[in-house]
Amino acid sequence: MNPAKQILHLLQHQFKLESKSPHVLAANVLYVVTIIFIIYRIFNEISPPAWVAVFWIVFMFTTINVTIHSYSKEQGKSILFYYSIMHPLALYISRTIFNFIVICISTLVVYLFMTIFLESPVTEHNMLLSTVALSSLAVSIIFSFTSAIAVHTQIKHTMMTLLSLPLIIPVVLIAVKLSLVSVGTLIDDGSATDYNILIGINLIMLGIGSFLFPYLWRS
Amino acid sequence: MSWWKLLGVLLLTYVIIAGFTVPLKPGIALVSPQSTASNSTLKLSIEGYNTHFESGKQSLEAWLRLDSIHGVQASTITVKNENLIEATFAVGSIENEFADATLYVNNNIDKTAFLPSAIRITKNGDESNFSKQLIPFDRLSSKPGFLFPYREILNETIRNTFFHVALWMAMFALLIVGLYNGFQYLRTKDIIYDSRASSFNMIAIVYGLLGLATGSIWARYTWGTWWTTDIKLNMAAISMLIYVAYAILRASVDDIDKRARLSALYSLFAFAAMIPLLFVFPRMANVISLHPGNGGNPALGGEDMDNTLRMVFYPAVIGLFLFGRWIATIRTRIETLFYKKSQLE
Repeated sequence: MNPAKQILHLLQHQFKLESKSPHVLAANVLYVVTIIFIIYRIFNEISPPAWVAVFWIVFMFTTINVTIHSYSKEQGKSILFYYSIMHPLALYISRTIFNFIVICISTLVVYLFMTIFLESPVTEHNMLLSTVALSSLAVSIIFSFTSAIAVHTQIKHTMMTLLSLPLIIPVVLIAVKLSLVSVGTLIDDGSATDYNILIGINLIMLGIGSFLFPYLWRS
Repeated sequence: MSWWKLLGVLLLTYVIIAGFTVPLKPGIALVSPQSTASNSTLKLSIEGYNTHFESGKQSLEAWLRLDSIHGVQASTITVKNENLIEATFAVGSIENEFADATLYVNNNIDKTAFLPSAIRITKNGDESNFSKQLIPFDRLSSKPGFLFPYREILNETIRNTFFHVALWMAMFALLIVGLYNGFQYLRTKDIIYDSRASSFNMIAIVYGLLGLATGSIWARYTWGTWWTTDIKLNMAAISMLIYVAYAILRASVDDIDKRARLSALYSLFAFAAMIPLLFVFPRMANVISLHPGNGGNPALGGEDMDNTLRMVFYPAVIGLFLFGRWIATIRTRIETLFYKKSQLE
């Protein structure tokens, strides 16, 4: 099989696995709704900067939750078979694409519920959307790598959080800055630079991740 | 005994002795008042640091510089003691709304002590009395000899350059050696590279924590606080978090080969993630930061370094690196012994 086919095949496999256990999705949605409901009860009315802060904190923890779920499922023997016939890069890329899709969906759910409970102060939707897309991509690139490290340890979930959170800080910092522009709190000066840095982080992490993943996989 | 171990110890000894004992050049610590109006007589009380006003009384002169070459000379100077004088200036008119005048005090023993922007002169009324003279820059010179420069606010804490800044630079060098060894492990699967990589990374973490601690003490004496929201401080702290995560990752895996592989991979991946933290964010032009080196290298902010500082600073970097390398080699040996022991069991 050529790499593109392998990636497609692995993606199909992952979505099939996902569809077999819809309760995981329900659990994640419930997780998001509970957090946002608590925030709504605490604040009632929320200022735009606080809205942005809450949005990205919920984003960080939801994405970690979602990614761990998707990984810990794949401990069976079937995946060992896949691991032995697929190219490691195809595995990494398909994992990243899958995480990206899942993270995007979960971020949409977060945004939806935050708009329902706490009125959305976003004025420039395109800007928030592009920020969310770029940072979701960066986060999924990083998480695909760190979760592959974390599954080999004894304390998977803790280790996943511990290894990933410090690494996504730069992404979240820029995302927060861009989101503050999108709600009109911050004046737009140098957003283009921020986008460039975000794209740069994506490229660097994807490059180093693809370079190192084969070493991780060969065990 | 390897030559570099001896060299490291000698350099560190030199750095500690020279760094703590070489005196500062004479400087001006405080003037009062700190603002005045033009066209007035100004009675300025000047407090010196490491100065010899009393002994150099005969040749004592004081100048206030108003623009790039012109200024006024003190008409009378009363010497109170070695470190305190009172100078009277007849300040004439100024051209702009205000002028931040630089103060020079010159005598034969101390040569020139100066304080940039010592006093702010605001424009006041009549603008005809330009009683300015050319400042005799040929007479003004810095005190010769092996002395560290005096900077207001920094004062004696300028010596922390040899520890705070040098620790960070040595830490980077050690981290790069650690990364190289980590990569070598992935290529060769030879466990000795893992022992080396982890040892260099661990000593680099210790250096990083010491760098944070010395920086915090420095901040307490110059900025008045142990910690600020300053971007460079916080990015450095996050980088330390990443390396602490590395240490915990190593501790949580029991299998030696697995631990070696995972930690080498994480350290390489994390280093790439640290690039924006350490090399992009702090150098961005619109970042507001108290820390020196805005828009450039935070460690070697050009204008604050002079040649006497460099003569201690570079040996400090090399000495700390060699000392760290020594500790790392000892730790590597211990790790190797543990590995052999676990193989025997």
